Amino acid sequence: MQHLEPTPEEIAIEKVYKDMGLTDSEYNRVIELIGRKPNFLETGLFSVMWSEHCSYKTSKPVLRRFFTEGKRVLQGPGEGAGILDIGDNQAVVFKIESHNHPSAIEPFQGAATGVGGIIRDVFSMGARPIALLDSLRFGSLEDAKVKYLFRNVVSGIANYGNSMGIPTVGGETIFDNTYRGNPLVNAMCVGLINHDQIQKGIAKGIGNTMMYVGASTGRDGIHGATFASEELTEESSTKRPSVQVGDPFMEKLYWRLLLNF
Amino acid sequence: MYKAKVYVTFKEGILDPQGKAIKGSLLTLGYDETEDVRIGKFIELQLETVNKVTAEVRVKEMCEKLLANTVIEDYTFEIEEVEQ
Amino acid sequence: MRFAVIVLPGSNCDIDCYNAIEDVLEQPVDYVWHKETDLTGYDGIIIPGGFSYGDYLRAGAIARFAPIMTQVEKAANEGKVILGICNGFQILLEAGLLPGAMRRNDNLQFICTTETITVENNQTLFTSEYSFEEELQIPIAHAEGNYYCDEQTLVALKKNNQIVFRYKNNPNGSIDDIAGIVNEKGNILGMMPHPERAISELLGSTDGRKVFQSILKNWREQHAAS
Repeated sequence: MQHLEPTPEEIAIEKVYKDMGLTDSEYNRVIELIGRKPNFLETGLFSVMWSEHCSYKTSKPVLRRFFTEGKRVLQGPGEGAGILDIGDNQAVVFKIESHNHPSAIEPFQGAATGVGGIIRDVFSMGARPIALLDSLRFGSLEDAKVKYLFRNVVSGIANYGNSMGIPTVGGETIFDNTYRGNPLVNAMCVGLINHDQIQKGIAKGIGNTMMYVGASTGRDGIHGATFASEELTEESSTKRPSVQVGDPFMEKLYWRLLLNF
Repeated sequence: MYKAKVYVTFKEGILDPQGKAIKGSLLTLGYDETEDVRIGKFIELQLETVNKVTAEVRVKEMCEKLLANTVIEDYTFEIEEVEQ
Repeated sequence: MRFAVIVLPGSNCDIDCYNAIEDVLEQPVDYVWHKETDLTGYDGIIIPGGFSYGDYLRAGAIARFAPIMTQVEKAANEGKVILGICNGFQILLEAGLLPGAMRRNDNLQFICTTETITVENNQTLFTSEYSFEEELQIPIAHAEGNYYCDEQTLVALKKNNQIVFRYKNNPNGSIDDIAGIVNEKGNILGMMPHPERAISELLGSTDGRKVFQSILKNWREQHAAS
């Protein structure tokens, strides 16, 4: 069988990792950590996990300033979503995520898949999602492009929530020219759970069966997170296939499967 | 192997709000010649049938049963033979 | 009276319907999965709202071929009470159990609001507890609620008194302001507004309760007589 992927040496010499979004220093750090040059798959894994989208490497110092501890905190940072005790053996599960870059390129699908991601993070903790909220920033609506972004982002969020049966119950929108080329699209999902039903993404043991479920993906899913972390340029539109297309119906089926209600 | 291209559109006389919106947008953009816009669906099917006649019969059935809602929609289709 | 709430892949008002039967009527109710093929044990069947099969192709178009639907048709022919709400109404139209079809709302928007609807016929199994022309506050939430039927069908609907609910201020372009219709026999109701979302003060309205109460009362009367 012929292998078409570059070897670890080729990745190092031709700096293939750069196309995947890893910097020189990050690549060297990988070598340091695993004690050899990473192969193609490993380079891909590191580039995704260390992307801004997944690791929040530049915003972490700011995020650290938030309160994350307290007697009502059942789950702080580190899992798919945070959990706060509300008494009566019940808790609310929160997740908020930005989908700025994808929304700037393809506003409807960009915003919709942002919503899809946070709903997943809430029901995968075992909670039933009950509400969506959003926090949006756009340039002036007099601008035709902004108007297009605004209309499609809003319907992307609404449409995904409606299809799943989760209402968008509130939010805030601010218009300022600062956001003309780069809208901010933050969506939040809130879920409800009983304390004893909380599921965590931890599994230990050798020989366990691992199942990976989700919609089938094409070019749109590969390096989506890396793309979402790149700086937006004029050429970003040509990478449009990197924006995922949402499938709320499929997600609704997984939700039902996981919560079995 | 046959390829069927199915076109589903609203029947004459049925208000087509999407078509209306697109017409408005085209006029705003200066395409003044736009008299009417009808929006519809395009469905492509790959079929493994013994001959073209059978494919036609089957596709007609699919349209009547599922692909079009004949209360409000019309359909047309074309079938061509393609390489496997 | 035993109720079935049909659960299709993509249904999302099934829990609300289930709760409405439990809370308003205190009657036994089960979720019935779309792959089930037996509805014989049930006296009333509810097809809830949602986006069955993602509403891909057309709202309700794929759902009407779900295995359970042949049983729904059978139950319909036996004269059992069938209530289709929102997506449930769309499915009943696609299945041909009710006449007409749904188009996109004329403003092309998903409309989520509370509408005033009027009871146009209070002589049905679903509305006998209301008074004639009573105004109800019932939520709607749909993108495809713009009801259409041809001239002939509309004449027939009027003649047979099949138009059960009308919008006071038509929100979606629906022909003749139609919000809900019954079949000629009167045992199948399809309506776009959500009565199951109007069953408690906490939800903003209790005007939907009598839909369920009418169903139960009429069933009891029929069964006391026989």
